[in-house]
Amino acid sequence: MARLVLRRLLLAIPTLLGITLITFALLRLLPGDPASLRFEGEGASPAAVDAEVLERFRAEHLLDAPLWRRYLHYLGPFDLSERGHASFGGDGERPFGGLLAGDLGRELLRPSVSIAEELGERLWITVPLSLAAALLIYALALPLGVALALRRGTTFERATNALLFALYATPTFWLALALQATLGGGGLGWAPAIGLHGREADPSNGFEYALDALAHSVLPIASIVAPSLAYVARHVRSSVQNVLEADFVLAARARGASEREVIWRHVVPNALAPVVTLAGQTLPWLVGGWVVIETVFELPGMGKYAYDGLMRREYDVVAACVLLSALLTALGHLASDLAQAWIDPRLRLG
Amino acid sequence: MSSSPPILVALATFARALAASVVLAAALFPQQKDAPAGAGPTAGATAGAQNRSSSPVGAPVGDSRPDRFYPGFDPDRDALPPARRGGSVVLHCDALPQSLNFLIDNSSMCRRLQRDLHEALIVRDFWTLEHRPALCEFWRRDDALVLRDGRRVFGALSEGEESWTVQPAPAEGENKIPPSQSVPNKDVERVVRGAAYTFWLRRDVRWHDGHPFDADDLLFTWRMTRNPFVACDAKRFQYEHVTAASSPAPFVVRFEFDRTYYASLTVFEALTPLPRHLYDLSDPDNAAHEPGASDERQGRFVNEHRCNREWVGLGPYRLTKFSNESVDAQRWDGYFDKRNGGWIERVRWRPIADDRAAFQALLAGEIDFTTRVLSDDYFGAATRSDEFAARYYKGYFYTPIASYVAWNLQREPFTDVRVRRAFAHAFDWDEFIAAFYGGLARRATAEWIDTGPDYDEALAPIAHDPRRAAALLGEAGWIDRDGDGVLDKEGRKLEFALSIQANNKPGEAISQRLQESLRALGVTVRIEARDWPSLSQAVEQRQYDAAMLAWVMPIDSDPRQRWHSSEARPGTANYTSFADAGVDRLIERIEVELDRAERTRLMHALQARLYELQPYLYGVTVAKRFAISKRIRNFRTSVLDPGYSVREWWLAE
Repeated sequence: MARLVLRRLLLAIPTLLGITLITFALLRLLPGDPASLRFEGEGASPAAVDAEVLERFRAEHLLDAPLWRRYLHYLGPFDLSERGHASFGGDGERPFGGLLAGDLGRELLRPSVSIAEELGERLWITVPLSLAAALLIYALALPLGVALALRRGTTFERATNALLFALYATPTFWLALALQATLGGGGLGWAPAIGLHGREADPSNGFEYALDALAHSVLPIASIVAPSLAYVARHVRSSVQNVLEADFVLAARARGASEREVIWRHVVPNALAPVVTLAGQTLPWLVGGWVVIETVFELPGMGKYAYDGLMRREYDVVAACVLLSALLTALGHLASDLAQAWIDPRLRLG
Repeated sequence: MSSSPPILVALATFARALAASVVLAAALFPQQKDAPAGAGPTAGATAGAQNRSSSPVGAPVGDSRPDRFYPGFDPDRDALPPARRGGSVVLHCDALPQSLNFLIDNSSMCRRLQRDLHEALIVRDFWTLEHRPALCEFWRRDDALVLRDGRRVFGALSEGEESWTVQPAPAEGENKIPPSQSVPNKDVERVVRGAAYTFWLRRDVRWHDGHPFDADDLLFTWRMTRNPFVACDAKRFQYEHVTAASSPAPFVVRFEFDRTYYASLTVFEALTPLPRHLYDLSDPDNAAHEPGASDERQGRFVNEHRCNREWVGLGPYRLTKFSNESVDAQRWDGYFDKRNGGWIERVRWRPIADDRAAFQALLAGEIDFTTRVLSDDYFGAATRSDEFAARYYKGYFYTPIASYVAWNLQREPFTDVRVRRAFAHAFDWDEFIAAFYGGLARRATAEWIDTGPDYDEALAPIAHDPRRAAALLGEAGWIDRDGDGVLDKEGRKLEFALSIQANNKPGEAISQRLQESLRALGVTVRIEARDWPSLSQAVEQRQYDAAMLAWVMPIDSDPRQRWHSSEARPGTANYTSFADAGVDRLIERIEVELDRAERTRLMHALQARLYELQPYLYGVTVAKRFAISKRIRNFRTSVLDPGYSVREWWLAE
């Protein structure tokens, strides 16, 4: 088992490096000048700013440097800027920096904001939402998938299948907008549809504040759960159906085991392996999905941070969010491998 | 999914693609709807065009009665109740600023928040549009003679045939008028009008943390504008002609200028006083006291100071929270001007980027006020329902935002004024305003505030006249010689790319209408939608043919940056690379003209010349459509951004 973990972790390193390189290169290919954006505002133009100021800003943040130098600066552990390591032409004030030094940098437009701190703050919103969504997806998808497999060919299966297809075919953002318009304050008013807290929410009253956040999470979670639920439920159904046709199930029935025992003792545990694989990939997928959902519902989480960062050409913000998603993906795969190995001892050897 | 029948998988995929394409189409093709008959305030639009004064809600005065905002107005039910303190309001904004320190944050949202969280030396009165004292009690302007030996003699000047007479002001604390001084003309190198401004500060002003405000705070702030390491580069140009600042007496500050400039006073309107005891490393009261800190250290200290977000200001509202969810403020009892210190107890600015979602939040009672009501909602059933009418007013007001299409005058075919005028004749703005804006927009003949003193209302807009447009293009040599439906000249087709900001509905609608109008004349327009960073970069570097943009104008807008030939280079606000000797001369005269009437005359002459040369396709000034809770009273609108003043509002019982 330890070798499996070690091998997976070692494999994750080049994967993550590759992701940082691709993300970095793609972001820098985007048109738009962060220096101009930094100084524009009133009058909608940085025209009032001296060219030297713009150049100084670009030099300070290596915006004019060759791509390879910028990438190495971003990767670390040596700071290659003017204030960076003396061995690389800097004044030595800040010798180390970049990802390998554990430094995600600071925002360009808000130099007082550390990206790591901001990201940490926003993850307190995105991660609980993702976990809640993931739990809900599996809590609903498992029994639903099993029920669909057991009632094959019935009206219930056909109707539920149609509904699941409709949900699966619905784009997440469309569903989010539809739920917001119909169930939010402008529609039936069943659930709050904007932000994480209502206007009267009082942080000093912890329980009510949490309840308020929970109420505000209903529609966002529903928006992200619905399409995923359809996908996972259908996955469970096909997995259970495959196992139902296995010889050992027939043998169990032949031994006189009750239908309940056959299903929950023999079929479901054996059908779980592929579903567990899926579970490991769900969390990072959900985190990615929050970019849209948080933007629609105005939730100040990591997804909105990534979206706003892209719009403002905050390269390091977007790169940090992508890297975090990649890291979660790698960890998700590792977790699903471990879970599978735990379920199926044959995999531990290999 | 492996066991799904292929036909179902195909159907699901098709449904996804269909849904995506519908959404994509909705995003790409804006709604160009006609205003529903009787639903839109056609009469309101007319009234809006005539009514260019402030407009109170709840105070039925003249043309600015609230029934202009809401047809169901009932004077008995909706009469203005007496002012009272208390309550809370939530205001919608599309985004929060990066920081609350307006010295280093150049966003309009930061400036708007500063109106209530902070105070300036002087402010522009929302209703009279004139400067009035805020942190000072009064101020004095001195002129100066600059002598050939470099000395400057300050005072009131009167010019004689052979000499100047200078009457200096009494020294601070003395009542005796000093003797006047005679300076021979031959010794005078030049005269600087408005060479010094002296401000007598209020003595009862305190920062939100209780520390007293004094002249040192202002002098420190001014020093920071000169510190190259403070990230105020976007504003530094405003202060570059302030050559000296001093405090000749306690609670007196004096600033000297090196030139005559008509808008010198605006410097003090924009100067954001910083609390020296928190920001100045050399101040012993500062917890981070660090005598002898370098400029770089001090600059970075200002740029990265926690108070840039945890703002300590001087305004009637004290910041209580600045998060990604909102900016919250509480009315501050320590504010020095009790009559102007606000009525509502708590104010929250809540960012909602999507205007449709903001309207939903309004209906859900999560916000009380938005100025970004979409046409669909404004003219649609949502605002005509009894439920809406029971809780909200809707209305509109004009703000100084003027849209235009900038022609790149360095590129063909825009080098020829006849082509530019032809394009102006081709576009039917009146029809477009009625169809797209439901009448809630006004044609602009210049980018200046169209209700301000500098705007020339007499300047007639170019009429929609496709025949005249075709004739002008013919005169310019653009004729369809090969019969392919596109005009050509010397082997070149008449075509260009029009860059617009992606997802900007008005921009998309105008560009499509322009494309249609010009196609009818035989001109090919390619529309290129770009996100703002990309569009901004293209315009800055002059890598565009034509670009759809907008100006947000201050009341004393300096035309030099936009129109003087010295600015006709990449990286400036003269986006069109415009250069005209006559315009240069007018701008140079305007800059030194302190007489308002004469300056207005020159501004009008400048606008006439610019309109004649059509470096822009001048567009429209668009009304902001707002919805406001009926609880809020004494809502008035002004032409100055943001168009309203929160500190004047109070809540009905």
